[in-house]
Amino acid sequence: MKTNNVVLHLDHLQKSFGKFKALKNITFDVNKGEVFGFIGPNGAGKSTTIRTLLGILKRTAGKATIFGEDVWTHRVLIHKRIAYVPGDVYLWPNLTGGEIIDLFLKMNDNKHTQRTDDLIAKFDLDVTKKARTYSKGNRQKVALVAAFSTNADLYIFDEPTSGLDPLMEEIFQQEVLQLKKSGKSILLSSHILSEVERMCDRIGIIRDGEIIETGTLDDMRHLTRTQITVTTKESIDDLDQNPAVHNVSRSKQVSNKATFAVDSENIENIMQYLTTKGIVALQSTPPTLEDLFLRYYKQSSDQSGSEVSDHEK
Amino acid sequence: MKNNFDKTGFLTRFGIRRDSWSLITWIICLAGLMASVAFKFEGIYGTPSSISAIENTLKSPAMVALFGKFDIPAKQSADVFGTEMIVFMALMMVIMNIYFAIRGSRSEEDSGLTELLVSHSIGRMSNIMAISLELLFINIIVGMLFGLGIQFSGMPGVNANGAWLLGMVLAAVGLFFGMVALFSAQIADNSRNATTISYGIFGLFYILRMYTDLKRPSTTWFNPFGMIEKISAFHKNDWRPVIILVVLSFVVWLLVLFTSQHRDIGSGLIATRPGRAKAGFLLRGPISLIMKLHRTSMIVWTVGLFILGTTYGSIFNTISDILKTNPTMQTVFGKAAVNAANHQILLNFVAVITIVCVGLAAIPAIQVMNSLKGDQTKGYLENIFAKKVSRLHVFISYLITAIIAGELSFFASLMGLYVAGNAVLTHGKLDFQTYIHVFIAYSPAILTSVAMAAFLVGIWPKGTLISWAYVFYGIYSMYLGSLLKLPDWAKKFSAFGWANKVPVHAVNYGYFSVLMIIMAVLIIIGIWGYQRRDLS
Repeated sequence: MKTNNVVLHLDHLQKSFGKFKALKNITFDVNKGEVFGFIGPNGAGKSTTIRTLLGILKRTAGKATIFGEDVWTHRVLIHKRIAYVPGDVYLWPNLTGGEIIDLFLKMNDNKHTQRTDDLIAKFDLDVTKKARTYSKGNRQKVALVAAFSTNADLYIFDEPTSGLDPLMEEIFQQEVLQLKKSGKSILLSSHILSEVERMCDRIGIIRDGEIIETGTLDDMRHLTRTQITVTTKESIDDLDQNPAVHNVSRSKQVSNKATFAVDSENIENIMQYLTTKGIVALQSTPPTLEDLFLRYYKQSSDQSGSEVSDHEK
Repeated sequence: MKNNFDKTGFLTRFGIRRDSWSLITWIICLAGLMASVAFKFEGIYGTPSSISAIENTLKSPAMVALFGKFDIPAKQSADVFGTEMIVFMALMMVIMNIYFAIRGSRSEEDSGLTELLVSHSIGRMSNIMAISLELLFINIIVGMLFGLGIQFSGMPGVNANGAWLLGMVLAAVGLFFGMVALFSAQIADNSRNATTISYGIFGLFYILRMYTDLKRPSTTWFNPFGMIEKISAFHKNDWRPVIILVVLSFVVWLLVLFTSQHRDIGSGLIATRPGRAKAGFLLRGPISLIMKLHRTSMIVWTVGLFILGTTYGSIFNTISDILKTNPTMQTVFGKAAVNAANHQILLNFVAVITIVCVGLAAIPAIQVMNSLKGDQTKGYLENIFAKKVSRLHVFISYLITAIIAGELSFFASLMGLYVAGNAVLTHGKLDFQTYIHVFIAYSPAILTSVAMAAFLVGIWPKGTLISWAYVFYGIYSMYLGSLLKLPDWAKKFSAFGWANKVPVHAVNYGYFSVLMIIMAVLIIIGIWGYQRRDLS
């Protein structure tokens, strides 16, 4: 991992507000040209991490660099090469959206280009309105248009689509993928899982100020269970005996039809077992990010760790 | 009908709890100020000679301009108290009421809280009703504390009727301007404009009062702010101003109710116009941004202080005429006036008036500096701090704008004095150079106030109220200081007391340099702290 490809590097980052430890241990890297998804529930420390990365907050301990430079001491240098959209966008009420976009661009030596106009049209933003009349979604659009038309190397988005409608979300995703194609790095914090699932190469899960898992989505799928619905010729009543199988529910209408979850690493021996019973129909659903997410939430509330839950429908 | 006011009681209690700390601070400060002056008053103006001296002083145009015109005979301490304190305390009451009225109405709407509230089962008028009741509550409490404080002060000549009349007329005038502020909150569509409109209306009445007091005192009756001078406390005890003000407050309140039912939440009667689609050439970085944000307010303050200056300047001829025959003026202006020629007295007057001007000019300056904290709390700066703009750059931008806002409006007030004063004077005009000296001598008061604000924003942002306390103390100690015979050190506690009475004396560049050094140190520490702390 320690190559020149690392754009953002966090090592045991900690941040306390008085006695309250907001960040306990944040460790992850964002590599060049990748979209890194930063997910976690509200209050887990996503925004605090990002604001520390931007040098707005001063870290208590740990290491944090962007482009190899310290995020606190060299913040101005770093800021030349990044674009940022905060989670809650607040704008000066008596400036218009257009004025604010241009101001943001000028402050980083960028210009209002054709691309800016295209983005304004794409996001369907009325730039002549004063910011006080904007809804949350419109304020976010202002920040997004400014960020997307900024020429940066690292883009940081903090829950950027929380106020946008699905149509605009779609445009946002297109634009992010476009950036990725041109070799830019993106840090995307979100709790909208489908978004992260669609766009991110790697993800980091944060809970209570700690990164509890990082890796590709595929890496993490091993940690969860696959949902299987199967119909067999012979009876599969002894399915429950297998320790890798959980939450079995049998169909009342169709005999020998069952739905169950299986630990992903044991999928092979279950399939062998089912084959011996003669498979009539089989449907398998890979774990979604949602399952992953729920699994980690549940862990925190159960504290047992062994009792893993799956989504059931 | 009940439905319209549903949950009013709950909202009122909620509002009072929300404002509890500010309420307590204001109430203690105002009631404490009034009571402490009342208790001390016999010591200041207890003897017949000191009373007759101050009586003549109070009849001079300069004092009429500041404190109002009274026709009660000053025989006892209480008479002097009633005339000296009323206009100043009314000023404080108005400031307090505008503050709470805007905070409870338009600010709540700005932050979206009102929207959240009305989605619940509360009556259509409950919001307005709640803040109105809160204002009524504050004014009655403060008015009662005033009444009690004065009644039991033991001042010679005090009686219960007069004491309570004083308290209640101050409460009534406060309530009236509170309602005016509530009305402004319906007209404007953001709290800053609502505050500006409220102060604009108040300023108009204040200046009109000064003018009618000097020219035709009987017409002051038509002025809601001026009529408080007509109560004749401890003599005729005329309660009519109280009744009129309460009725007027009620009428304005009905207007507030009416307009509030005929507009959308979050908008005002004056709609916001669409603006430009692209930033102008000038809007390109922190300094130009902050200048643009405060442009309107800077213009309003500059024009306002220029008008105030011209109003004071326009009575220059009257001053030299009357002061010539009134040697007792020295109680207020110091010994310098004893051997005074007209010119000297005029210079003295300029020195006193300048205190008012410089105190007012410090207000926009501190407002700008403190908005660095406000803008950050509101999240406006979040994006700026992610740009390649250093914290130093942002800080300095606010600092420079603050200094310009203060110095510009101060300069405008002096120019008002210069232009209008020389227009009415037939001989012994004050030259431009004099005003430049005044400007140099009093500027440190503004600059140290800004530096104090910069220091606090940088080091201890929770304490930004202290910079306001500093300015209010400065104005108080100089506005009322001489009349209350405050000790010298109390006046020299703030930079306002170190101006060396320019233009009576020459500018003391020693004091000036020391104050500049203090200013620089405060600013440097502020910047040092700002570079190192969390911005949250």
